Amino acid sequence: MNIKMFLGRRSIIAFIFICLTGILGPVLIQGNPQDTAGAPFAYPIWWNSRNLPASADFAFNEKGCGFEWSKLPPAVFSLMGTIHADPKANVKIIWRTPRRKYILASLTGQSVYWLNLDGRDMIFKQFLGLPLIGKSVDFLFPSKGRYSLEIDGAKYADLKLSLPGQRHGLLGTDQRGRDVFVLLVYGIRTSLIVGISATVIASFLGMGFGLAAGYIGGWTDTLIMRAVDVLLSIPTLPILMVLAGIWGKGLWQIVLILSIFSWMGTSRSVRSLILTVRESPWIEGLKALGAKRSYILWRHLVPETAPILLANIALGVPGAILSEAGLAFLGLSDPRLISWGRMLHEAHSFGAFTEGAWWLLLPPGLGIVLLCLIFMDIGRYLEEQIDPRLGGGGRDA
Amino acid sequence: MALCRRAGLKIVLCCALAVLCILRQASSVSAAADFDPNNVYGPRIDKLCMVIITNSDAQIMAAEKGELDIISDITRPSDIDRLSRNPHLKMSLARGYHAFFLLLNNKAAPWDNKIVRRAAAEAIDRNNIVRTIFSGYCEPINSWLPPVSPWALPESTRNIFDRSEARSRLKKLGYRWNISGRLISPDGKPLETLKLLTPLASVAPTTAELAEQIADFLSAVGFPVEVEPMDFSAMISKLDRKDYSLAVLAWSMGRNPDSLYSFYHSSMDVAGGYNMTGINDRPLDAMLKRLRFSKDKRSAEAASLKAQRLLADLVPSVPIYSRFSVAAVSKEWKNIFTTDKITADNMWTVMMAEPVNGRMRPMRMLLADEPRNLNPFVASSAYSWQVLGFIYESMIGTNPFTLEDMPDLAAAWEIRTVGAPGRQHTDLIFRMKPGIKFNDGSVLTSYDMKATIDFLRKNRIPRFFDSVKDVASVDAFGDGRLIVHMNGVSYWYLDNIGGLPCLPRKVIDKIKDWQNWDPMDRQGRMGPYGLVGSGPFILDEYKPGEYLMMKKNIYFRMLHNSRKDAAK
Amino acid sequence: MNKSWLLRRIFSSLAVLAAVLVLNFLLFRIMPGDAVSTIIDPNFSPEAKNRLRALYGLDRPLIEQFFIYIKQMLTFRFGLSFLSRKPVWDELMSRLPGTLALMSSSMLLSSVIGIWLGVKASLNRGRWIERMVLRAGAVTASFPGFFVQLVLLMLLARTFPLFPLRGSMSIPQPAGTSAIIFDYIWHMTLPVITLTLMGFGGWALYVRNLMVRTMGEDFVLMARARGLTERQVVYGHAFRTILPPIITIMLMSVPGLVSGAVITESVFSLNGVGTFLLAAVSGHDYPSAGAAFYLLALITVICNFLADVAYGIVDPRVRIEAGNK
Repeated sequence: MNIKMFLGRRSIIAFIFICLTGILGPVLIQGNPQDTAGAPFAYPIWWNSRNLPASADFAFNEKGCGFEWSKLPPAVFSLMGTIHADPKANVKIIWRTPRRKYILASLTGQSVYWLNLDGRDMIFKQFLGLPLIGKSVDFLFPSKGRYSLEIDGAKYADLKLSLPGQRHGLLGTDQRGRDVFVLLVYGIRTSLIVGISATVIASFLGMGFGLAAGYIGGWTDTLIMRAVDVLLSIPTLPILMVLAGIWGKGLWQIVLILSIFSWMGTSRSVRSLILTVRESPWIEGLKALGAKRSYILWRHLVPETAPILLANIALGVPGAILSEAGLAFLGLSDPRLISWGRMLHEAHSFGAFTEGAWWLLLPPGLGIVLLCLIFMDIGRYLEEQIDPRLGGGGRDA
Repeated sequence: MALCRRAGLKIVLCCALAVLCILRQASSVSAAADFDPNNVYGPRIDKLCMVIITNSDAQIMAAEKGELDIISDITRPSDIDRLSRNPHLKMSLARGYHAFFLLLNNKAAPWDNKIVRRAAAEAIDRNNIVRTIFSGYCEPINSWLPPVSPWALPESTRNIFDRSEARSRLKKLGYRWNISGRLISPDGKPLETLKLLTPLASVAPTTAELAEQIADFLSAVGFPVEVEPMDFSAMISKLDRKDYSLAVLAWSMGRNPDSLYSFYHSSMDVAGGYNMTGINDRPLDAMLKRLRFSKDKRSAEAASLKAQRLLADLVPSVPIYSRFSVAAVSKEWKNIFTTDKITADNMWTVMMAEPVNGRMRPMRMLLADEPRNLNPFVASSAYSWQVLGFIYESMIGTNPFTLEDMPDLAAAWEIRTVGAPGRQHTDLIFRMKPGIKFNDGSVLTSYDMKATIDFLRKNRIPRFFDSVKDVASVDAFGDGRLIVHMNGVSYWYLDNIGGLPCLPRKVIDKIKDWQNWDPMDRQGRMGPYGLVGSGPFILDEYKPGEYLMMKKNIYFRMLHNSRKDAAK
Repeated sequence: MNKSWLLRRIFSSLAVLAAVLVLNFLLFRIMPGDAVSTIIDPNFSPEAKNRLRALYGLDRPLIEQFFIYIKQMLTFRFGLSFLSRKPVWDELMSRLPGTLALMSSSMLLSSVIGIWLGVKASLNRGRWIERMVLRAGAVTASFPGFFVQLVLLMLLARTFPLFPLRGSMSIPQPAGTSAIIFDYIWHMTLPVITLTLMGFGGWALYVRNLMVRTMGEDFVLMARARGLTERQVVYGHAFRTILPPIITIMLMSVPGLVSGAVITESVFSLNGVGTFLLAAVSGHDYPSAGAAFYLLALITVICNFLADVAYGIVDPRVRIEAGNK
């Protein structure tokens, strides 16, 4: 195998890039990926910047604030802070739109007021006389024009008006307001770890059982092959649900469960290879020379199986990644674990399809596709190395 | 408006009153005082089609396309906002019976002290939870009964969030904080990590996020809480064994406060019982017992009030929020009925609805999952009863304006406590309305109700077991009276018996095997074919997995009422 | 065919079946909780729950439950489902035709299209069509199933309302047999298209590899040297050779049909065996889940056996080898 050519393949380069992103990304990105970064279901920052507003924050004092607004309403209207006033005075907070004014609050009787107004609260909508179902921001920002917030009757105030926009982040936000790009980067780790380790473990299991069945033969062979049949007779998805229910949902439990159900194919191929090779003159010669069984197994047969194993690993990883995605999609994975399958599950559960929130669906979906393609290409390359007849078509990924 | 409590400043909060007024604003079609829910003329449609759509995205897409006329219980906030912008749909909102609790293991430290539990309750910012996870479509609650219930205390939606208050309570008990903010118990040991059990996202999608937020709020006060998601059955087993520290759970509560007995009486702290917090408090037990076995409404009200106040003091579990019920009805129909207590997808809307353009067609209602079994004795899913609720009726109904009892099949009733002191028991006397017919034309009498109650009792049918287990005997009379003699004393027997569906005697007598009876079996192997009830609709056609077609019951009693449209 | 070989295969199939039966029973009983424990309803007291458990037969000792289970499985009388209280057999049979129609038609389509494309690709080495087939195959095999289905549902049922959103029939059903058939096909088009789209890639790649290997074999060279036309060489000799593994794969993918149906049925709101299985597993419905798993195991074992027999018939080497043992 020509290492240089191998490393020059586009799929390998892409794989290395993804690995590096997956390892360095979490280190370089500040903050917790689970933190709320913006409004829920925000579009990516570069989408439709003519109409959709980005986030805007205004910090102001008792003199109030005013600004021009030329785009669609923001996602959330949030006013927080403190107001100091004479207890006898009636403090009014007034929001002026180009169409009318709204009295957001009317306070009296204290010297300090702590404010936590949010347009999503039912009480807020009711106080303003707005319909309880639907977004109040649509009424607070009816059109383009000048908007202002006034505080009447206060001595001094320290307020912040937060207007998280409908656009945020490189790839928008999810239903909780988390940055999708950050989640995507963190998800690389999980998908790769689960995919690769589940397949590696399954392959080693398969190799071990295949070798034992093929070389030792007899009862061991029958037993192992029957076990393979038994495991193949159990429908995978439902049994994964059952096992996930018993064992728990952590990362390594999923890896274990996936490996237990994927070693059968490899063991069969290894076994048939061993069966062919076992009778060959070269092995007979070794036996005639007095070689021990373990020596033959380790030094000769295992290297024989290595190419098949490598190819199987590369081709098995997409399967493992898709299985993990499928399990996560059914909600059976650890919610605290960020994985692309989980991102798709949450997108589906929380209505991204209905909302048309493509930024929640395409990145993880295409990410899974990309990873699968990379591994399939690697696997195909390895297969071609083993069996040169297969080469020729579609060299690059 | 929501004003936070902070250090040392007590603000008089009119939150509760404001919230109570919220829903009065909902445009109510029949808020007119002359609307009598018992004297409605209907059903006016000929056919009601219940469309089975299991995929939630497909449900919303169907609603937007106009393929559905009534959608009940829309849960996702994005869907609510989306449908609210649709000009062809009328939305309605009301409080529901759903509630979400943080369960605390009252038998394990640190939750064995009620002050610590109260501190935990005050440490959680319910407003923030409702805002961020539900976009405001839930109501923060501080009550062990759903706020919509007429039995709930007025302060059931008071905002008790006060982090500094929580800290000062802990401080007074002797708790301290270490450098990283973790609590140190009065005996000097820092608290060990407390696990918060939560069901998986496949069961409850928002619960996982909720659990994280709650854990964060508790950690901010010093409780070292960590979320542990697990399979729902596994979680229930752990709760049963009291092998947990904290857990989050949501369920639908009933209207009646006697359910509090099941959840908080110490005798219910058994395997399979509902006292998952393990609370064991003598005064509470006494009050709950008094509540369950009260003789009449007045004493029940007094006991209910005191029991709820005791619960508010003991805080065995922490109520977090209650979800609003949101429904959408297509504007192609007029006479949509809604009050501030029930959403538009109710029986009266279906009965009074007429197409706006005058062209009669079947009304299409969403059925979110396959009912699977329409045998009323065995059917347990909410979807089966969504269908059966249109076919069968009970003696006592629910008033849509007040949620109190209202005559349905029974014109009047009386509850009496009879017998010598020490050997008293309750007698329920019902008087059935005359002239009610089943959907096959036969007359409904008190003998039918008696036959139903006797059948349920004799066969100890699990679904109705609790309602009839204390029935001693039933007497029916030709003048429409039905007297049910109970074994003990309790005001709640009234609702238990009054809520039973009424099946015809002649059908019951022909049932050979109630467990295997399939009313859809035309050969009638285990029992007669058909669902014979007195309700407004009759089952016409059932295509499993696709739809159920119901048609108008021509013998329904409200078709004899005079036709006066209550509103548009 | 060697009789002892056949007998040994049958015997081992039975052994596998027995092992699966026991495993299924244990697996479900190990799961914590049962059908009744997850109900939280203050109007459903522990006493009532125990009464329900008694009706389900869950209060009997485990050994007794095991023997009842074995008897049920062997006589195909699966009892009543816990969730619906209807005979499991009836529920399965009512759902089977729909699922079978969906899965078998999509398997047929994806295999036929995949095989055809694979053969075409192998015959046009290095050219555009081989590259396209390889790329398309790889890409479509890498997509998560539910993703494709939901996207296509949104695109073709809402954005461009060409297909229905749900179910397998319109409401109300149109009159006339041909109208009903047409309606059914219209409803099933999207699910079948998505499944075929996801499935043909794997077939195409596999068949291409097989054909490439076979075309390089000596006997093909010999056939060409003998003067047979290319068509005869390809379809008469090469393709015939790869038929056994294709048949094997086909038979082996039959059991996987049901698992694959689970997600499809939930996306398209179809009432099939997949959703039945899912509800049974999550609802601790032991009779339903046990019956479904058992039938799947039965089908798998039978398919395995048939695959071995078919291979044995076609490939004499297998028979001789087995005979020598």
